[in-house]
Amino acid sequence: MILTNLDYLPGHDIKDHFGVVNGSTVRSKHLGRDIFAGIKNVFGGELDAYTELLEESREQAIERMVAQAKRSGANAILNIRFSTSSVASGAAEIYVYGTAVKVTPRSAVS
Amino acid sequence: MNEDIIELIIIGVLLVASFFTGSYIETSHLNDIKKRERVARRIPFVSTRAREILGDTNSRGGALPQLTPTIEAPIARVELVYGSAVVGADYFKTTLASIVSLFGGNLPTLESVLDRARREAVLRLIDDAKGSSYIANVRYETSVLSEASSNSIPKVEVLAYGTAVYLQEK
Repeated sequence: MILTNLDYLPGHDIKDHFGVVNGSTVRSKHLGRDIFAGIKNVFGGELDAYTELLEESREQAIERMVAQAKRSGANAILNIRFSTSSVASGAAEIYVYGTAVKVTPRSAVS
Repeated sequence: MNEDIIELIIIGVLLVASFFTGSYIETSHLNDIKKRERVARRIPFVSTRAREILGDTNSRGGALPQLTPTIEAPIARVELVYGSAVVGADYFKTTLASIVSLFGGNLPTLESVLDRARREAVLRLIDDAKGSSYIANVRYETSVLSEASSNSIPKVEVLAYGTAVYLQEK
């Protein structure tokens, strides 16, 4: 499954089009680490706990989008976009969406 | 009466402590970012699509004249890459910002938080795209993660994502 946020795939032709596919997760951090991050927040700096939380959620959301695209018979997802929103204290929703297509490599023109 | 004094003392201690730790963390993070940026410049990233840079024969336009030499090698593969960072302000910054915001204008204390988050996200994006020639169609996504109450210290997440382009070996 080829993933890209371009709206075309270089060297390929789009043969079929399966609509918009998406994946999303809502995750909240383990209570202990959240309190620790809250204390660290008073002193500033990068909050690794939150970065890790969001990265894991993002990977899971992408996996769900890829699974949905595979079910429809696509082999690439174009024009991928991300969206993050905070839904509750300590919980964030990651939403990723794109267009599922079937591509074939363009034969080389000499 | 005594409780108010104790509360003021606690706030004072927190302000002083967070001022020193906050500015130390910020300066060391900024220095670290600048050091890594010098190395990361080897992979350029643009917000246009790959076509504009390659001078794809199927499109009307040619390569961007500023990006010489023109990259005319065919593309081997493309890959979605991304990098993100969450950076928080500290108690001192937040208090200062709420006082300054009474008068309006720029909030340089919080501007630096977003700047560091953005640059860190881009460095991780470039790290994810190791071995590629350049990163096309780069987009930024910013979101605030904090509680709804106005007293909370803002945490910001910046995500930078794009498509890493790997050219065919000659």
